[in-house]
Formats: sequence, C-alpha cells, structure tokens
Amino acid sequence: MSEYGYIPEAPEQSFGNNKGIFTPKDIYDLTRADKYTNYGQLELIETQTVSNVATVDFTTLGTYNVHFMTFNDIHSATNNVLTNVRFYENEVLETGAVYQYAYQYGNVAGSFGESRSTSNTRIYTLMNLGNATNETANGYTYFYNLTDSSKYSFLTFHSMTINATPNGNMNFGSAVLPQASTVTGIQVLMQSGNITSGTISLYGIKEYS
Amino acid sequence: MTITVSSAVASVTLTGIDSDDVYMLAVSNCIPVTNGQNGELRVTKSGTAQSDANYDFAFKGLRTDTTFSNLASVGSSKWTYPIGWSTSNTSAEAGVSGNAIIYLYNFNSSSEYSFITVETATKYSGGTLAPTGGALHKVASASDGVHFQWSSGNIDVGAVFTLYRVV
Amino acid sequence: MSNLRLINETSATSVSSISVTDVFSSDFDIYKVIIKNVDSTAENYTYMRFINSSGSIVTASNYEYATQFSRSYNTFTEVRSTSDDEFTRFGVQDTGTEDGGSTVAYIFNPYSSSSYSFFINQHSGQGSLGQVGMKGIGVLKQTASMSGMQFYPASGTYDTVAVQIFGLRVDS
Repeated sequence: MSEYGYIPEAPEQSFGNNKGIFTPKDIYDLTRADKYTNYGQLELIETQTVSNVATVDFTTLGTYNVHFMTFNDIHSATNNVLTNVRFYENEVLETGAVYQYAYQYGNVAGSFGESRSTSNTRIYTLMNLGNATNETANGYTYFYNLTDSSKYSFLTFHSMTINATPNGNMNFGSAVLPQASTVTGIQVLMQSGNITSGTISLYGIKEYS
Repeated sequence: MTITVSSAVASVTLTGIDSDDVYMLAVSNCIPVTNGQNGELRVTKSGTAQSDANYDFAFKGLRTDTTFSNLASVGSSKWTYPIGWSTSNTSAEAGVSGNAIIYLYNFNSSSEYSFITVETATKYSGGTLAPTGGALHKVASASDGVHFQWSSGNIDVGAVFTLYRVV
Repeated sequence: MSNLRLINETSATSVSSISVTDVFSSDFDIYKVIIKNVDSTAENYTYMRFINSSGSIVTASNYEYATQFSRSYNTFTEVRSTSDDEFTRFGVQDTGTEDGGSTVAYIFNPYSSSSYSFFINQHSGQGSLGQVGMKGIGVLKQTASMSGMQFYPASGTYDTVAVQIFGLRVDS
C-alpha cells in the first residue's frame, strides 16, 4: 500500500516540507498534526462587536505565545477616558494594583509627554477618548506569554484617538502583569463607564515548535 | 493589493478598502527622485485623493542624530511624514529609502473619520528618522484607499506598496 | 488566509547567541520577526547583528539606531547612535524565568544588495527595577545582501530563546 503515493514508505512530512500525493484525508490528518504546509500564521480567534457594555471579555486564547488585538471605532459613554485592559488568571480577574505600564503620547496640538505607573489596577492602552460623535479610539496591541504559566504577561500597544477637546492624540508603549501565571482571559473596559460601541478582534500568531 | 514602481511615477494610489476590517499598509524601498523630500499621504474617496484641510497628525520623531522631535499639525492638506521625512535620494547616498508599517482604521465607515497609526524608518542626510504616532482625516465619510507622493518630484523605481486586510 | 508566511522557527537553550540564517531571500521585501521565550543568566539588553549572504556576521560600524526607552518607574530616555557595530536595544531581560519579554520587529529590504536594511521594533520586558519598553528603528548602512540575523545578550547567556521569521506576502 502506498503512502502519499510512495511505495512502500513516504518521506517524513513536516511543515514546509511535504512530498507526495495527498488525499483530502491526508491533508486533514497532516494539518491536525501541524505537518501540512498551510500558510496563514495570523489566525483569527474571535471578533466582538460590542454595544453598550461595561466590559468585553475574550476567554478563548488558545495556546498561542503571541496574540494580536485590533481595536476599531471604539466609542465611550464617559468623556475623556482611556481604554484599559485587565487579565483573568486561571479564570479569576486580577483587579489588584499590580499592573505596570509606560507610554509616550502626543496630540495634534503639539503637546507630548510620558505616562507611567508601577502599580495600577489596570493597563491604560488606547489614549484618551471623548464621548461626542466621531470621537473614537483605534489601535492595536500585542500580548506576549499569556498562556505560559512560568512567565509574566507583557504587552506593546499603539493607538490613535480623538479626545474630549477634541484633538487627535496618539500613544505607543508597553506594559506588564508581573506575575508568573496562566492568563485565561483578556478584559477590555473603559477607565469609567461603558463602551458604547466598537469592534475588537483577537488573533493568535501560530507557532510550530 | 501590491504596487511595485517599475518606472518613476508622481504618485501611487492603492484602493479597495471595502469592509470594516482593520487594514495594514506596508511600504518598502520608497525613494524620492529629488533629494530631501517629505512623504505626503492622503486618503482616497471613490478612488480620488482628498486634498481638503482636514488632516491632523501627531508623531514622535525618533531620530539617530539628535534629540527626538515632536511633529504635530492640525488642518493640513495631507499627512506629512509617513514613509518619508527629508528622505535622501540615491544620488546623495546609495541604499537609502523610506519604509513604513501603517494601520488603517474606520476607513470604510460612512459616519466616522479615518485614522492611522504610523511606524516609519527613513534615511536622510544626517541620519535615520522615524516618525511614529498617529493621524486622522476629519471628514466623516468612507475612504477607500490611500494616495502617496513625495513633497516634490517623483517616486523612484523599486518602491513596493502593499495594502493588506487584517483578517 | 492571512498574509504572514512562516519561514523559520528556531529555539535554543544555554547559548551565547542565536542565529537565524538563510531566512531572507528575493521572495519577500518585508519580514516580521518575533523574539520570545527569552530567559538569560544576566540582566541586560538583547543586541542584534545582521548576517550577510556570505554567512558572515556584520560587525562593521554601520549600524544606526534610535530607540524610545520607556520605563514604568522613571522618566524615559532616548538611545541613539549613528555608527555602532551592533544594534543595542532589541530587548531587555532579567535573570528570572518569568521576566523575559518579547519583541516584534519588521525588517525591510534585507536581501537587496542595492538597499540598506532597515528595521522597526517594539518590545516589552522586565528589568530588576520594573517594566521596560522600547519602540525604535534602525538601519544597517551597507548596500549588501543579508541572509539572516544574530541575537545575543549584552552579557551572560540565554537560558532559553526563540525566534520566528515571517515573510509578508505580496501580490506579484
């Protein structure tokens, strides 16, 4: 009996190195074993389109080491607040003053500065956002090590928003939850009040090792 | 969508934004024919570059030669600095170019402004410059792409512009 | 289908450096690099050098870079150079297993022999004093073809380290 068209044995199959003739079942089995060359290493986990909620939880993280999240058209009920992130560790939300962050900000009127904290109850990611029409927050965040119980959980982020002035303002920075734990969920929330609307998408960057 | 400049052109336009997804513009090897030019990026609506005075931006100007700069503007007719900032041409210095990763948000929305976040690395005579930050076009209507040109002169051969939908 | 094409995944334990070679080619103009799972024997920075198409690590003083070095516990600093023999701010790591941060970087035109090799990087890490972040850029000012990169700690060795290299697909 041939294997992948070879008699008697096919070469060893691995990602980026597939030889032979493959039936649909072969492709399915090899894909499940991460041995079939499928391009597409940015894998969408979940998109949430929200409407008037206090928090948005992403509780399916998979086994990725690096996650990527995009924020599109976020509107806030409360004026002049930042979009925040907190983590669930083993299904328990961490609300202690344990998060650290640092970011550079600047606005279109020419005011630039730094913001930082060594002990906050949440991570400030997207910049200040007003609550009037067209005042939205947009940006992206990378998350690192969330699913690794032996490591701290890190972030980098970059955003562009309209604040309450209204002026466009940007920030880029980084953060950490300095606790070696398994993060089982990401919570997005405003500094106060509800998220009135917006779309948030979470992706995993696949690895094969 | 990818555009590779095969002969010097005045501008490049990439369209096709037709969904509410986040998009990413990746630019490599973008060189001005004329030495020392700034990049000028505009949104397109129905394929036409918009030159109204509604472009605002704020960039931290990382740079290798001196203290970082603050670059900000309200009410400009374009976004200045994405992809290029005083960028040299290859007559001045072989090997130079402007390069960028730009995320696009809300472009497809008919009721929201168009936003971008910008990360750029570009070579000029005194060092390397990196406008990093964000910008917006304060017109609440759908944009379907972007238009790029240098502040003066053509885009040299070899520039590669690719517009991705983040999915 | 996404547009990230995995080219190489390399991991190592107990090494003084990690090199990824023959990863740049004419197939791509832009690459995405992720450095993760970093654990080291000393608190210090991760440095980077390119590897050229002859397989040699580039040590000439042709590296130029600028990094916004942010800290949760102190004012930010600017780190820059116009002529170094290595890139000195690709990341930071302390000695604990738990505190190794990660880096995402984009590399532009590395394979081209007529263009300099540019990069943009962002990093989040943890030092002994607190959280550290970096957002920076750099360039290797050589019109020469590069085939890969080498990463190494400024002091000590990596207990563990992993590197992923992706190409960004373009429409031909």
